[in-house]
This record gives sequence, C-alpha cells and structure tokens, in this order.
Amino acid sequence: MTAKIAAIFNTDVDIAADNQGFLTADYIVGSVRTRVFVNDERLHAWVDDLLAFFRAGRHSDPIISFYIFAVDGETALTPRDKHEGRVLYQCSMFTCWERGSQRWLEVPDKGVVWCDLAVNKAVAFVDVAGLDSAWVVGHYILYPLWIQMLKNEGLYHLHAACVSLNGKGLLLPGHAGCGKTTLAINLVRNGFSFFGDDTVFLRPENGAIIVDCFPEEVKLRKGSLDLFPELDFLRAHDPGSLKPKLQFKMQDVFKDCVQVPAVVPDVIVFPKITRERATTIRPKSKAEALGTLLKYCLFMADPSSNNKHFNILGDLVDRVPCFDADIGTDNLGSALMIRELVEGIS
Amino acid sequence: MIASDRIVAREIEGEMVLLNLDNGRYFVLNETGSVIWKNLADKSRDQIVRRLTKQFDVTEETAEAAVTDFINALIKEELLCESTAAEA
Repeated sequence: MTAKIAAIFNTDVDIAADNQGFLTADYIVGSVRTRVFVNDERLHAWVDDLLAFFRAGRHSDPIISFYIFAVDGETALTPRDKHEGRVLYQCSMFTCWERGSQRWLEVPDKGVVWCDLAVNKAVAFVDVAGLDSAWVVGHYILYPLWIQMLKNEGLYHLHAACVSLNGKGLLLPGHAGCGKTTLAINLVRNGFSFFGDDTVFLRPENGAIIVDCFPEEVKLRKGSLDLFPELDFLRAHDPGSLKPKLQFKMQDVFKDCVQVPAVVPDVIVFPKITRERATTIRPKSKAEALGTLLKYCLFMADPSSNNKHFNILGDLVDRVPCFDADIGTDNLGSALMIRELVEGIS
Repeated sequence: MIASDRIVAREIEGEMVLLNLDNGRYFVLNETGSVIWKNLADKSRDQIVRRLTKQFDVTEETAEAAVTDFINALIKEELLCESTAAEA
C-alpha cells in the first residue's frame, strides 16, 4: 500500500500494515463496515461526530478502509497522472477522475482523495488550514468516494429526506432548497420518526427494498426558524451571515425520533415549498418519478454502478405510489395532509 | 439502428426511461418516443411510421418527421448506433 500511495501522490506516506499512529473508528451503514483512519485529532473528532450514529465495535474486519491525512499547505495535494484519467463528474466544489477501478477527487484548496474501488480503500490528504467545519470534511472529502464504495457493496444513496409513521416509510427526494428538510422537521414534530434529511441509502434485501437511514446533522435555513419555536435556541448559535444555514441534530431536539436504523419505503413525495397557505398533493407518473430520482442521485454518475443504481430506483418506483406536493405555509395542515396520505397507503 | 450497449432502459406504465451508463444522462420519453424506441430493434422505419399513424391518428408525413427527428436526437445523445445487420 505504501508503494502505491507514493506512486500516486507526491508524497511518501507510510501507512504501515499495523496502522500504528492512527486514530481509528468503525462505522456500519446497512451491513457495510467502514474503518476510518485519521492522523489528526480534530479531523478524527469531526468524522466521529458526523458518523456518530453508525459507531460500531471492532469485532470484525472492515469491508471499506478510509485513510484521512491532515497535511499543511500544498504538500501531497496534487495527485500524479490524474489527467490520464477521464473526468467522471464535476461541480463547483470538486472534480472526479476515473481510470479503471481508480478514482481521484480533487477539492481545490481543501484536499484530494484517491480510492481504488477494486479493493475498497481510499486515501485522502486534506489541508487542515483550508477546512473550517466537519460539514466540509464530510461532504467534500469523505462522502463522495465513500458513497461510491458503499454503492459497490449494494448500498445506493439517494438525495432525500426520509421519515416514517407507524412503520410506513416516506421518502422525500429533492434538491437543496426544495423544502425537504423543513417538511421533515414539520413531520417529526407531528409524530413521524426520523431517518435522514439529506441522504439515505437504498438496499435490496430478500426481494424487498430497504431504506437505511443516515441521520447526520440537519441543516436549516435561518428563515425557517420562525416556523419551529422549539428550534429558537439555534438563534443563539448563529455564527453570522457567512453561514446561511444552522445545524442541529434532530434527536437532540425531538427525543427518540430515531428509533430503528432502517425502514421499507411505502410512498414517495416530491416536495416543493410554496408561498400558498394550503398544501396540495397530486399523483406523479412513475416514469417521471424515476427521471426525477435519477436527477437527485446520478449527478455523481459512475459507470461501475450506474446500471444497478438505475435498476433499484426503477424497482422502487414500480412498488410505491409517487406524488408531487406543493407544501404550503400552514405547518399543521400540511403535516395532517401527509399523515392522511401515509395512513391511507395499504 | 440498435440501442447502444451503454444504455439501459426501463418501461414504466407504458413510458420509457433511458439511462446512459457512461455519463449518467437520462431521458424520460413521451408516449410517441416510447413507441418508436420499443419498435426500433425489430421494425423498419416504414413499419414504425405506419404504427404511429394508426396509434396517434396523425398523417404519414407527420409520423415520418417525428421518427426522423427522434432518431436523430437519439444518435446525437449516443443512445443509438449502427446495426451490423442490414436494416429491414
């Protein structure tokens, strides 16, 4: 491994077989165990806080290994030969290259991640000076290629919130700003259980589709605070205008709202916040629903898993009814309407 | 013309959804497009045109234009490639 890392990055980092010197922790999403190795206490604390819900003992070997090295400045942040690969996807924050089973993710001024999907190993070098929050570490450094390795182990991510009522799962897919977090909070304060507000994982099991929850910190726009008096305490933690969103853990505010780690989805609602008072819900064609789901999870398209990802999304919309919902400003009214919808699903 | 082997397709309630496995681009076909797609593999262009005129009550000229435009769009998106066998 040491030789391989040295060949790819402009560095000679020794991640020896016994892994001495690392802070390590194991996390289980679905049935997939990931061991994260970090050489920096603050980074380790951030990662552990992000993944606290998935903490696991170390009684078996990991399926995925993810090394994160804190480095200073430019050292080791440029992977060699990345341009020999082809660009798989890019957004304003990062670019991912592919060459065979290898992937490189470059996050300008923050870090670079390499992984080999064939062996489920990833190595990240991050510039600690360029990082200002656990969220950045999670969403730009850890998640993109970790999610790809999870896909190859049969866990397919979906950009969606997920809640449940009496064991019936409700998926709320949507892009940032569509209102899925606001709706999820509203439903949880009205009796729903919480599974995640931004990312969940779909997993085929014995002919069924299971949603594995991913209850990371909820990020709420400041303007939405007025809707939820119980979140008023967040105003005291407002770091200022640079941060458009405030963060909290749903289970810290709504006790016992995370009860089980997985649920079978029974209905999909595509939410859209409106300025109208009343909420309206209408059926959505399954083909259109599949197209919309693809939009929310295949922006990080990877040929190694696209076919299976497509199939599980197709199976999902085949099995559950799909709806569009224009969510009105009447919180209680919208919660009651969606409760009625979920309760009516047989 | 045949579908590229880098395309997966799924029919849901009569409509086709296509995904390009290489780049993640996806397409939800309308009713007309779905009919054309489903018949491309084993029907000639003329047979598809005749099917459209019967199913959608359109003129042969309109149906021909629809098939041509649709096939050109599919080729542009690399969803179709030349068949090794001669077209019927």
